[in-house]
Amino acid sequence: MKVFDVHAHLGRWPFPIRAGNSDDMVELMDRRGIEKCVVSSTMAVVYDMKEGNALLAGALEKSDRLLGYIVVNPNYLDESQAELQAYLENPKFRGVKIHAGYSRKSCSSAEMRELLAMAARWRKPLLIHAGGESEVRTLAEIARALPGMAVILAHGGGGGWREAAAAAREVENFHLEFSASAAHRERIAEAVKLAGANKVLFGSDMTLLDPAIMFGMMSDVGLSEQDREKVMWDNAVQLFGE
Amino acid sequence: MEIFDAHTFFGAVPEEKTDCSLPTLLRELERHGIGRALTLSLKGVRYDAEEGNAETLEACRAHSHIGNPVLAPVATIDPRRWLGASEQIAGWRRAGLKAARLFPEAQGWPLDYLPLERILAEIDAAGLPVMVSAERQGTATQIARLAKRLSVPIILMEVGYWAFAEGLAAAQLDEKIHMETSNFAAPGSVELAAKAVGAERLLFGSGLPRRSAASALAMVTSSRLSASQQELILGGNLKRITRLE
Repeated sequence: MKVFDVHAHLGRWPFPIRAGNSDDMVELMDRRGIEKCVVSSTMAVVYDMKEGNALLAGALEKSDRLLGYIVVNPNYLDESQAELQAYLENPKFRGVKIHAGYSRKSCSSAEMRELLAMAARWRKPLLIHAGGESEVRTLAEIARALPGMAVILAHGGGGGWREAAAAAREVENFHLEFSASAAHRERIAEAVKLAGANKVLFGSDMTLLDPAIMFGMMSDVGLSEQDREKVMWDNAVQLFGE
Repeated sequence: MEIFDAHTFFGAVPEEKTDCSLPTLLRELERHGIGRALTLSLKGVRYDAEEGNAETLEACRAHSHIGNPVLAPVATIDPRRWLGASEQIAGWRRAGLKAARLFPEAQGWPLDYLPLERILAEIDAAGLPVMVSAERQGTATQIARLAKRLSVPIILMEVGYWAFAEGLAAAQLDEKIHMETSNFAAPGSVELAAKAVGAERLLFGSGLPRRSAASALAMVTSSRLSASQQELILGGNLKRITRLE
């Protein structure tokens, strides 16, 4: 079964992890059986959006198995607009990434709302890291108001995963992926039961996390073959193309 | 090869609706081919250590037969209720308990803590391995300092990527210190730890029934370590430490 990973990062980490460049990433993909993945720049998330996005653009040229997210930041709205304009015509960039934690902006902030509306104009999928019940509810409301943009909630919204699954059932363009260092046994199965297999995507958070964690969680879920294919491949292809 | 799991538990979880019952633990162990597991009741962590330890012993007595998943009991104690603990701890080995586990992070007590020092001395005298949750940065460092006064094996539990370098540094400082693998999630972490401190200092843990055993197993079995190194991690080391053959 082919696997499409919608949550990956290229770059270095402040931890003992030896997977920093695109060759490392492709090697890890080969070892774990991942065909394609959508990557954002670690540097763009944790440090400098512009420098990180530029580095990623170069790295994406080295492999046709890597697609990209443009990282934008609610603290830099004009600059984010420029980043979207600079890269989203590039066919290698298929989506937008926002990390609410590193930017320290909640989904209810005016800046985040403006950034989300700005990103939605490009009608590309958004992967957003935001967590907790309140954030999940706010994000789901925003997604409902921006129906042209598929919103993928990273890590299933962490502790707000039940609210996220309920929201994914109700809001057409609201999706979930469940990468986590703590491989919760029940979450994916419960989310599929609540929201449907069409709303859950495979994301690993490599190279911070080993995709083996996510493959283990998937093997514990007990989905039908058809639902498994949706989660592992079909849903991502629908959103990102091949 | 029998897989021996260093990190399982059973009981209630008030903060999230999740099934961590004893039957679910046993079912998941069996489903993943884990023949033996150290375990304890969450009642001892979250409510009362004495009642929890009694529940742990009862569950393990009921599931001590080779052929089904075998549960081996782990004791716990809450240093916030240290007074009067000496007799309890002295009796743990007689009662069949195989290790002592402490939860500074979940219970919110500091590691620079006189009741802890007394308790560690008593566990050391009882000759039981000490398991300490070391998810947070700073915990492994302080445990390594406390370990100098102890002679028993010490196991750092649930060390994740954010505290990984610290856990390795602690284990390099003191050969009594081991690391449990349930939170090893970064690519190459099992190999890196084996290189830094030796495969004989790593103990497989699943985090069942809350966590996915398949994920934890995959991190070891899909690593580039040799079959003999993997066997040590998956059970051989824990058998040696707990003296369970």
